[in-house]
Amino acid sequence: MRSEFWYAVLVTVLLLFALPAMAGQDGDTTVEGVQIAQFDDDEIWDDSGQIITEKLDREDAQVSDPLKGWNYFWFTFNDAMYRGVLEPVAQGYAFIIPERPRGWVRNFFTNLMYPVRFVGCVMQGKFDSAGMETSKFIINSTIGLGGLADLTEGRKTVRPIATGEEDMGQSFGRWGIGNGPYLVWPFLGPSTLRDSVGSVGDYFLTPTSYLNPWYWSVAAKSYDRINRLTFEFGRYESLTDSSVDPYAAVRDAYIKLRAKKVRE
Amino acid sequence: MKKAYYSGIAALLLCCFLAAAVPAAADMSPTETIQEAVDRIIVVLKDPKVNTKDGKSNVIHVLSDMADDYFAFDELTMRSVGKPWLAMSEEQRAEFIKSFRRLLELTYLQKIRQYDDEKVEYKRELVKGDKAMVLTNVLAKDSVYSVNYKLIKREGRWYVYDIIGENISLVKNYRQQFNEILHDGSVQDLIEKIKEKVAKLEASKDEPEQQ
Repeated sequence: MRSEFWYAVLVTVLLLFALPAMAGQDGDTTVEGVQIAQFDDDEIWDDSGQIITEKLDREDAQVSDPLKGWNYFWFTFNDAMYRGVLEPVAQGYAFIIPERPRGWVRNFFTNLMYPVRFVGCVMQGKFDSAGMETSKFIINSTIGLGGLADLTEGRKTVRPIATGEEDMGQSFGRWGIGNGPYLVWPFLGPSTLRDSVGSVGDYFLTPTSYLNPWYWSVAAKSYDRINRLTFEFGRYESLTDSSVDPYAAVRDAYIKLRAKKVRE
Repeated sequence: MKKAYYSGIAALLLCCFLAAAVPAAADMSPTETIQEAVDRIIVVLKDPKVNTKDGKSNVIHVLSDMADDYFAFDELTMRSVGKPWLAMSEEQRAEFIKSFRRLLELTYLQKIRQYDDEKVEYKRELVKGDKAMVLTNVLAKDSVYSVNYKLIKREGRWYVYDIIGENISLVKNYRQQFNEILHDGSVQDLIEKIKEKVAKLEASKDEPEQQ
């Protein structure tokens, strides 16, 4: 009985001491703290509209860029290459060749990349998409004149099937492997460690890699790239022209686009 | 004297009537706000006068005036800067908002002009308190882009403070850039950099465009 009384006293005394301490803690949240919270914690949804439940949901994590010197150098190089060579060539080519033949070329190369997409789908267990990509490949390679036409364009599948636009880097991301450091490669452009490893895998699945001698392979890939560029003129410029630090703008854009592709 | 008094009353009454007309706009949902903005922009862009030589620079003026009805530039700028905003003086903030806004106008309004009959599909609307998000798809000729808007409610009206195209947030993209610059320089350097960019864009605006 008495011990209970003393116990109650002890608890009361402890509480009395603890209360000001707690209050002190509350008092420490200065105006500044509240202001900082404005930027950090008032986001209700992430950029794709998902409710943010935990801090872990934030994609906002800074991308790691330990190789900034190397990256910056090649970014500047690629930028000059793009504006000075690639784009003028693509513009001249687009001027000479009408849109429809360029569309055929794009379809042909897209069709050729089927193994990359198929393996990517299978690696992520997207068997529906893998099947869809397979039937697309068969139809376009045969009736579609070796892939020049895309007969499935704009058609809805009987039941909704996720797109088969997959590659190895995305599969790794799906498996929960993080980006690792940001990397910029000469000619190839922005990447990350994870996506670079993925690209090596994709290289072996890309038919044009096996063209002999090697320069035909490079030529085929460059042609594909220039042809594809004619369909997206201005996208890179609009990003870099509106930026005050193009390097950081492109880095962020690459990471965010890839994150979206991994999610889908 | 008396006359002035009555005209004062009349003006007051007029103000009351005008203020009463505003709640009609105040009851707009976030999606309706975006819809109204998009529709108004398209009306401007479809105007045949736009494609004349003087029409082009004129459009930017028209759209810029319109932007105040739909954008919270102060909120957008504050979030783009992030924490360094707290250390900035009032003058710096005002200057920052002004030049950053000009930069966005010069780049994005130029782009908007290339409107090519894209359709907007409104997918979903999320509202919580004074924040909202509107998810849309832009249907272009041979592709679909996701464009999401973040909005904030002020005095009964919704204002956009971030646009997220294909998962790339305008605010966060600029925040990375500003961080990069502030890492090695001061806020004043950053403001100067933005002004430099604006000057460069204004100089090149007068040149004939490619394509």
